[in-house]
Amino acid sequence: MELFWPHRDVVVRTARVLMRHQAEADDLAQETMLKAFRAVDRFEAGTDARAWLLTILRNSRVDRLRSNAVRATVSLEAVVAADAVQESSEPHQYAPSTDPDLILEQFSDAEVIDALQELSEDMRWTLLLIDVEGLDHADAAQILQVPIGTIKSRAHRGRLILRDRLESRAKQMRLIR
Amino acid sequence: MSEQDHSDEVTQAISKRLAKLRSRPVDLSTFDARLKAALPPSTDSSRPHVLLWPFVSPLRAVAASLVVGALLAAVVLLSSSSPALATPQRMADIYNSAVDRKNHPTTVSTANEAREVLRRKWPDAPVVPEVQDLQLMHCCVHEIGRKQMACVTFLVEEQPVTLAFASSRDVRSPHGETKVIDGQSFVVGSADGVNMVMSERGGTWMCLMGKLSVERLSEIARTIRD
Repeated sequence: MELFWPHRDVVVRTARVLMRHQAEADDLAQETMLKAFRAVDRFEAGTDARAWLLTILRNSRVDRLRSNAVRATVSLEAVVAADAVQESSEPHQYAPSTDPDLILEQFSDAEVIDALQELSEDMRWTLLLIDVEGLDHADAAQILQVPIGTIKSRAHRGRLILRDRLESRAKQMRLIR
Repeated sequence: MSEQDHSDEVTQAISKRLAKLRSRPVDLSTFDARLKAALPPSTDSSRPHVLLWPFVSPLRAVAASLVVGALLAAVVLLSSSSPALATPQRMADIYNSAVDRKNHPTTVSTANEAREVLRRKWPDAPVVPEVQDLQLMHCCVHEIGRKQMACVTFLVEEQPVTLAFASSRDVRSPHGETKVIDGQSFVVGSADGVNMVMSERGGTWMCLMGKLSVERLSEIARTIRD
């Protein structure tokens, strides 16, 4: 238990960004922690406990989607494709003198999380693991059970979509022209 | 700046902004309470005591309390005198905390400034080792177990690299992969994408850590003088 307890914040944070409703997210996080405690014998000493917990979280999430007969799992690729279609091929109109770091600092965490939650589940997972939790591509690929190349392209496309969405909000907020 | 460059700059900024969500505090109070309640009763260690206690005489209970007290005191004494173990995970946490400036490090630009700051924060701090030609960023003091270690963060090839050091009496390296480079022995490790090389010289334990490769960190570590 001592092995996994310090990482429960990672599990809870990931679940809460992954799902819109906090109660559902906490249920999923709790299920993940309980599964980890029960399966501690299968944990390989010396390996990354955080990555192991995130793998359990991912599998639990997929199980829930399947058992609820939610078509979301089946349509994930379609959502990814839809996201890709929304990518703009137009050059972006950021004022060259505007510092993107400063603009992004104007958004609250809640606004950034909202924008993340609008992404497809696969992209959200990828950005959560790579950018939010800072995992390397190999670990993320192992957790999501996809090739490293897929992780790289999902992360790239995810950031582009997020950029478009935040850009449009920045315009509404008159942070940029 | 070309549009492509600016576009890359924006996506990098998005990546950085997302990384900041990691330091967002997570309210675990309700979650912890629910999780503890959901844990199976077999893990509740208080139950056997409740059942056994009525069968123990008051005199034996006092004797048992004394023995337990003595054992606890011995454990506390032993744990405070033995060196703390610098596990890769703990060191990666210290690195991330230093780089994210979570424990409010003091900005310094020279080794002398770092010595002054560390002396004020921790009068018994070991002497800051000599690291040449590296751009200093800040320094701080961390706790590991019941011991303290000083940390100095540099910028190397635009990457923050932290040198943690303490007395060898206070901190020790874990058993792990050892590399011998130019006759110098390093314990190498990695956690959360943070690489680290640990060594011990002249009574000082040192750990150099960052996102650079282990080989590059070893090269830098070799240039450090006590």
